[in-house]
Amino acid sequence: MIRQLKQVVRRLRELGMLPSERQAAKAAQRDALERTWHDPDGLYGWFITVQNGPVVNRYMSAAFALFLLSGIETLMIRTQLAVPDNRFVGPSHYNQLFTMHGSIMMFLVTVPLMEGFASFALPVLLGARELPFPRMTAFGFWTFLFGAVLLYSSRLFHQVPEVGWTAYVPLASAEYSPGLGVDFWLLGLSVAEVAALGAGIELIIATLKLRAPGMTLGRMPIYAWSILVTAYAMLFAFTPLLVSTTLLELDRKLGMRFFDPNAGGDPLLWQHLFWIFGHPDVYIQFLPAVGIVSLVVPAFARRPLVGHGLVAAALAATAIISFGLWVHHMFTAGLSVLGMSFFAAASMAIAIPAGIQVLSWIATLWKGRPVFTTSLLFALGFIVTFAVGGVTGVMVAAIPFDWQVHDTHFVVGHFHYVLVGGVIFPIFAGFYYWVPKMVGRLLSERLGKWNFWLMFAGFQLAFFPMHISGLLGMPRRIYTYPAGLGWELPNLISTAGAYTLGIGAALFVWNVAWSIVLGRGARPDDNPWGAGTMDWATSTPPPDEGYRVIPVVSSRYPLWEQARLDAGDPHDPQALRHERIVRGLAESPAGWRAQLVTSVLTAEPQAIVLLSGPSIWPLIAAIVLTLNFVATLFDIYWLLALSVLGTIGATIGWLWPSKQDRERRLVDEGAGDARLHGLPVYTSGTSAPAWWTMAHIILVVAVATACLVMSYYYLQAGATAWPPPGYDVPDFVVPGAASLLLLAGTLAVWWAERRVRRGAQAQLKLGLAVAGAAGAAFLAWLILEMMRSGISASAHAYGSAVMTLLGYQAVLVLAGLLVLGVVLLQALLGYFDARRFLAVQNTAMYYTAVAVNWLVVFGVVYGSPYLSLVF
Amino acid sequence: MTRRLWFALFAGHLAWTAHLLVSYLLASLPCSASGSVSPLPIHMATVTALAVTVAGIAAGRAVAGDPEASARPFVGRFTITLSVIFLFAIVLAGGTALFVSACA
Repeated sequence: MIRQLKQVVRRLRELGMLPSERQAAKAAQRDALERTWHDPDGLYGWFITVQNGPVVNRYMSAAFALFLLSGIETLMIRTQLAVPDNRFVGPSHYNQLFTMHGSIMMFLVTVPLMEGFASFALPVLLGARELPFPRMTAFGFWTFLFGAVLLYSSRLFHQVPEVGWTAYVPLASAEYSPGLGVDFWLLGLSVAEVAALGAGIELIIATLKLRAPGMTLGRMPIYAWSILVTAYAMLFAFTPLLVSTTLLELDRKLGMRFFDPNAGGDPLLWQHLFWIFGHPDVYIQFLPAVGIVSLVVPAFARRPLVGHGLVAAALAATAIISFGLWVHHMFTAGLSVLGMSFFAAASMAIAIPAGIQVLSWIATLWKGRPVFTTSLLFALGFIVTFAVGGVTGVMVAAIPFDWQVHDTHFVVGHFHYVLVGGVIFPIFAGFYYWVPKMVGRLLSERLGKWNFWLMFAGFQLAFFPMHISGLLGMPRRIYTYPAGLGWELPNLISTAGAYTLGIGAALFVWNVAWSIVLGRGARPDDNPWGAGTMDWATSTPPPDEGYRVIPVVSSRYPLWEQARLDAGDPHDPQALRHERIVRGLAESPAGWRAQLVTSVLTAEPQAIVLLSGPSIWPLIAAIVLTLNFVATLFDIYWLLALSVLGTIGATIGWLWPSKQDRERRLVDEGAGDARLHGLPVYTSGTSAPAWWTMAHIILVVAVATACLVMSYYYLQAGATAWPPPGYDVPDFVVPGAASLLLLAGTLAVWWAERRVRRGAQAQLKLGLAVAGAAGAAFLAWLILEMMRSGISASAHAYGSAVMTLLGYQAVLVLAGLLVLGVVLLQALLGYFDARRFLAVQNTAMYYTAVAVNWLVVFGVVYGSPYLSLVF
Repeated sequence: MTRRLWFALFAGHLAWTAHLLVSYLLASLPCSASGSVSPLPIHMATVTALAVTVAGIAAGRAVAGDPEASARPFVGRFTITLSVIFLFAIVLAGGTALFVSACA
């Protein structure tokens, strides 16, 4: 009977009425892969999901909601300024409106929207299944959300900040801004900055290490270049912001004197630190926009981008030069004329790479056959508007001209041309371009074109007249003005333009509701625009696993130039190996989330790594992190203690090996070989994404240290005596001896790392324990030193700088001990061996960085006062 | 990545950054009793930064001509373009010291 049944099944398979055994096995593997990559459904699943698809949707929905809220504030501002002597809002309310509008738009709308686009587009564009650290993506969303809620909750407490998005001191100091408004601003933004730094590191590693085989740097899409460059700029820019907001909060909460000129502080220090962040921040928003436009223009011009390599280099040059422009915001601060002229030159020099980009898009359109979709219209609107903003940017880079228009509406007009023209229009281009892929519905083109023309015309009407009112002398940030100064007409036109712009934006909301929520938009095929890049290679919307078969890339526009995505260039000697790996990965492993890791320059396969799965820890970590800031804000010290403990617990929970990791270990041990498809499953050093993460965390620490050291010497340069009268020059003998503890700990942890490579478990544990003991002893000494030194943090800026440097070092050591403790615990449980020691290696790297950091702090605090005595 | 590639990648960038900061520092020095500061150190900084950047361009050319790896020609050209942009930026910044007095 069974034999007869088998014959029937065989016959049906021969006739194609049943799948063959091979096909059935493949279908089972496909199902298993989908199950592995699918996050749980239901309410709990909603909280623990880490998939970039749902997380990106939330990220962008929240950021767009904030965009609309901030837009309403804009309309209130413009209503107030529509006519002279208006009483629609009072001066205090007006201050709150422009502060919240600027802060929300700069910190919580454009950057998160760009991060959202990148988190969606980067994996599919690079041929990766996911971002390298999905839990970090989820954590980024939650912290961004809680930061935004914290900042906006200031309204509930009637403590809305009124100091502008730049929060200049002394206006933002406790003396001139009492209450909690500025604290809400500082702490709310700090939460969001942590999210931005995490996102920056993740995007860098995705771009460097998760590219599909064959996608060399030369074949990498310009959008990926723009995200890589932007993410590095974020690390170098957001860290100074985190430092400056911390210093201001220390001044406000603990009475430190960084910015108090009566006690050795300097308000200009705030301006330097803020603008080292603030100017690059404009480019952090602009560069991803360049990336979006560099995808949209070729897609609709039906030809590859002209000058691909030049644009990639121009992106990098723009980001780097943007860090040399900060002084041009301080031309009226009384600095040396020659000194300012260098920054004026740099401000003009940035026009060179910007010009390369604009000419490249124009040449691409000129040589192509453009199809004027809504997305392309927004891209064209961007090019025109940004060019005008660029020209006025060169104008304000000229020092005498800047002296005339500084803090006038001319500057307001200029930066809105750059930021709305250069960022918001490309964001809308991105919406119309990618939303069909993200949600599986096309947005209405008819509504889209109305949307574009209303926004474009409204924008020009709103912001061009500001140049005129500014030249007529109208200052920014005034809540009203008298009649008869010639400002009435430009302001009335601006207000009409703002409402037109608002109607345009509302039309977009209606388009989304009509096309997606009501389901009236057409269902697109997989590549509705006929684009050549791989963001259109997956099904619509992309499946949870991204690519079942990871593509093999042999051109810049694979969908235009490659017949098959799973076959490489026949002239490439590595192509067959690449094909074998990607086909193998499509079949196994199916039980854990596997991702191919490739080399930085040539995208050669190096390893197969596990990506983390759904987890509640990102949400818990974000909650306890935010609670730290809330407790600080309201001076609730028991809550602060609890939230610090909670942060430690969340870190341990996050770092603990997941169920999937244990399953991978079982598979590995069952097979007896830690290799799959010829590639290692466990890796270390530069092959491992986590190694790169640690390297970039150390980079962030180094930038923060550089900012603190710069602050120390900046204050010293302005002081007549340093240390000030009444302070002794600190003794360096005992601190020097204590340094040996940290250095001994560093040697011990590296010794442990070397020993575990040879499988020496006992020596691994011994080395980690010695390193922990040495670090704990150093921390105890450091805390005692801070308590017994007799240096007051609140009497003089010298004490503030010294105590902040020592306190910062203590926090770094504490974090190192925490990580060391987790690794030691894992070592005791037998998690490491000769193949699996990446966590030990990363701990050794971090411990070394902490020790080097201490040598710098030691040199500054204990060494440099002696140098000043000598010289 | 070879040392030459690292040099080609960072020479122009670091030369421009160092030139900007050093020039700013030199320009911020207090003016002497005679009301002037010698611009010579700034000119020397400019010449040094230009020399490093030109060396970076030469290294980029060598990287671009390296037949060993498929990614090198692109990376070489990338570094050359980057260095040329920084060359312009250094000339522009250094040139201001020819026309603007430090104690103006």
